[in-house]
Amino acid sequence: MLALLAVWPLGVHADCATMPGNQIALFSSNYDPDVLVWDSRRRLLSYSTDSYQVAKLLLPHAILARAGTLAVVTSCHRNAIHQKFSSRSSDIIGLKMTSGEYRGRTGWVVMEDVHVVGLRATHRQHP
Amino acid sequence: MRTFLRAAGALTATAILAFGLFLAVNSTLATRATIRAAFDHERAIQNAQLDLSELLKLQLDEETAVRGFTITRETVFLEPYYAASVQFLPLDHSISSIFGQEHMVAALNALQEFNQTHEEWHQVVAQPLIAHPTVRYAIDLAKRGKALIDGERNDAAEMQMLLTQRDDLLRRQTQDEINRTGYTRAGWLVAFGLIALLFNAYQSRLTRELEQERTTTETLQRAFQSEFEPLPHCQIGSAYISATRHAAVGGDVFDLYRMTDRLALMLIADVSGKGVDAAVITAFIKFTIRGIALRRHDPAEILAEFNTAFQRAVPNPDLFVSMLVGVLDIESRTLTYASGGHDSAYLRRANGTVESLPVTGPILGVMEQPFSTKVLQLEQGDVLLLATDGLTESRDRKGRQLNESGVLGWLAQSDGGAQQIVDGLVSRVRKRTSQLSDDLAMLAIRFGDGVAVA
Repeated sequence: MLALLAVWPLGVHADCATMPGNQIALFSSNYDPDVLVWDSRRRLLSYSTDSYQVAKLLLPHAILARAGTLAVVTSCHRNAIHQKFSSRSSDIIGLKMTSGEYRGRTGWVVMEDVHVVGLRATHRQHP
Repeated sequence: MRTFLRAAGALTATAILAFGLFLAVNSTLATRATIRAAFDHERAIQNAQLDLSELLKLQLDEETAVRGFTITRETVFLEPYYAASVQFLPLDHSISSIFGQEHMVAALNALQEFNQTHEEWHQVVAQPLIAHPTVRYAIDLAKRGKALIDGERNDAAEMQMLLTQRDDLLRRQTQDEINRTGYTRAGWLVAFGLIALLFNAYQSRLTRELEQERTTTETLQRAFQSEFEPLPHCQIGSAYISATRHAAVGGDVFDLYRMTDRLALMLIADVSGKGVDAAVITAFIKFTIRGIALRRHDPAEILAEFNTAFQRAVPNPDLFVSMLVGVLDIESRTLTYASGGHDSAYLRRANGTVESLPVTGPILGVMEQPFSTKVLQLEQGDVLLLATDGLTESRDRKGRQLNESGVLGWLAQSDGGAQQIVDGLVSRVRKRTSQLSDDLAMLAIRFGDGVAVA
């Protein structure tokens, strides 16, 4: 399995900051370190780019994972979110939580809420 | 003329300089005002950015305070919450005011959304948690809180972006204004430099042309000038005053020309009109009479032939000439003369008596009539004065003419050398009036034993 993961980056995830198989910890901003984990990429995209009025309608489709929840990366979509108020783009990370009350659940988060803690951590800097 | 041109040139150069200075000062003041206004705008934007950062800190304080209170249920955690709530409104007003001043409509909308979201966070998340701290922290409430905080962050990010854009725009505009002013000033500098160069070139050309014109004029004036040759046993005096200030020539002419060792031609003439046009005719008279006199020694015949030539050569009916031509026999001191309407000729005898020489024919250029000749025997000490009507018609300040009687009176009192007599008469004329109304020419010959004096 590890050998397989070692050659994985040659695929569509090559430019991502984290690779499938990476162990990560969820931690959002200092304002509110808990992380919203979405059940679909589309809703995550909508939450990130639409207004709060839209966002609050989507909330039932998200779970609030406590800061520090561990997870494993299952996929990565490079620059999938174009932020409204800056030139930066964010990766969307697919994950499976491996600790906390939602252990075993899968979902989607933005790269900014992710901190790589596994051996396969990369040191790529975001633009 | 050159003085006038020099003064005009200096005046124009000063005007150009003054205009350039005015533009430079005006442009500097305008630029200063523009840059100052731009700096004021930039300062306002920077203040708004600082206020917004402060606002986000307050929001974080509130969030942290509520979170701490929720976990510990210690009311001390709520102190930052209440303190932040008090500070929040003035900051919000300050930012709103700046957005309004800077006409940042999108930013105002974002601020409004930020406030609505913040208020909703207070009502939906913060206040229920503060009111019921023992209630278990509901998952839905936490998610709402998270989404609200994210919403506020988004609104703040939008405001930050708009402020940054506005700041960049102002900086660009200020830089553009500074560049534009620099280019404009450089342009003005080049333009004024070119104007100055062109002006200098134009003035140099004008001065050169004027110099050429002056040389030509001086050459012509020398040709037109009245002149005399020294005669043995005679003193000669002369004066020529042009009524035209800037011209040394006019419509009067005298000539004393030695034709042979024994005979001299004397001439005085007054052309109607004055100035350069009349001077051209006087040159014609002088050289034509000389030419005729070389063939004919009878003044009446000289005048008659000249009269015919003049009417043919100068067809202008408004031009006529009064002229006295005399042929002086130096050895016998006999003067033979003919006067075509020229009545300003006088003889002052050595004993002081003065008589005027009567005319012997009509004015020339009017009709063809014969002229008669008169002969005068001159003695030692006699003075012959040939003048033009500028003398008899000179007026005093009350406008009264001197007339022939006045001249006769002055001559009777005049004694001394020929030039002294002429100078005395000129002095008297000048005392009567500061500006002659007509040209004045005088030729005086004093007969004696002396050698002619120039």
